[in-house]
Amino acid sequence: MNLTLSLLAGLLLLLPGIASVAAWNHGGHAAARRPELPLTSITALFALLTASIIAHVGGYLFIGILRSALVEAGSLLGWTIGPVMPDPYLTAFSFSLGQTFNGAEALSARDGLASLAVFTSAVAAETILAFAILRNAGLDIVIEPFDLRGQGWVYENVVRPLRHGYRPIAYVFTDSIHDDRGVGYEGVIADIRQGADGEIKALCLAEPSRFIYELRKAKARTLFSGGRKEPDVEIYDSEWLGGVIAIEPGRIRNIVIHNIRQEAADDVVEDPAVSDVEDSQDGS
Amino acid sequence: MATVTTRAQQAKIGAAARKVGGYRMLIALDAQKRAGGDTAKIARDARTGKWVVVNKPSSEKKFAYKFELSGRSKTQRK
Repeated sequence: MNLTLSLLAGLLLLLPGIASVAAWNHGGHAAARRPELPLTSITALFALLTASIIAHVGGYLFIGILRSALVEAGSLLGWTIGPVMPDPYLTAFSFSLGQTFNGAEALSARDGLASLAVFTSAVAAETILAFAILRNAGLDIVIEPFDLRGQGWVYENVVRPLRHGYRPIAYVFTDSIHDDRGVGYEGVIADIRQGADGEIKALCLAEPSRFIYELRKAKARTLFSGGRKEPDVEIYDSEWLGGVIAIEPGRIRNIVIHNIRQEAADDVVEDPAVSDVEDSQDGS
Repeated sequence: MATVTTRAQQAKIGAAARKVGGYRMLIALDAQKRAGGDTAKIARDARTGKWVVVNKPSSEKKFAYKFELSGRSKTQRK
């Protein structure tokens, strides 16, 4: 692709939309990562163009209202500072088309450049605003009922509960098995990354413990022994590791996720020792 | 970079799990706390050192409950 002036001008016009898609790809404040939306995808193009159009219409209206308000204020107060600044959007269009619109006078080079500078500043402001809105935590609240990033079960069981004050704890069973005994990890989910089809690409647990689980085979019940009949999974006491552990997705056999409320952890950390437990349980 | 939980949240949950004796115990206590309603609280029994869920009403509710009890006892006396 040749880097031409028209291409640069096009990119400048699309900058608010590009910033919106970049902010969206960044993933929000608390989220599992998905692959970035490629700019060539229909979804990204639609979002990019829509965001750009909204930003430019908003910018045009804001500048129009500001110019009219300043002129009105100047005439009411009797202040005359100088000629009214030409509309930067009109100047940008005139510049790109190489002609003046009906009724519009040709601008001097100085006025034209000043107006283009205002236009560039307006686009920069729109870009920053679009990025800030898409990265704002408030947006997560607005789009909370919708899984717009297509995270599937991760959204319903990890991301969404997280926004409601729950904290995800995962039990990960790995395929590191020897003599029917396997290694597993439990801990707070620190990060999950998904592939294009929703598969897990990376899983990271914070403050993990390691446990051993055993797959017990079914045992036939005999006349003289009251042994187990059903197959079973036994989990032995875990060993605290601490820190963070990144588990290779290829080794993960199963993941069990529990969401606990933050208040439960707050209660424990506060450590209120009670001596009247029985009384309190009675509610008296 | 976006992460699922912040470092502060991870540290708090981890500290709580270590205190009660593991994530399994913390999950069980949370389930009991949810079943106990809004007034339920996780606390450590000072006598046994075990972590339990106590259903401790707030001071206003406690007062109302006691008031109701005393009223009933008066009626019974009559």
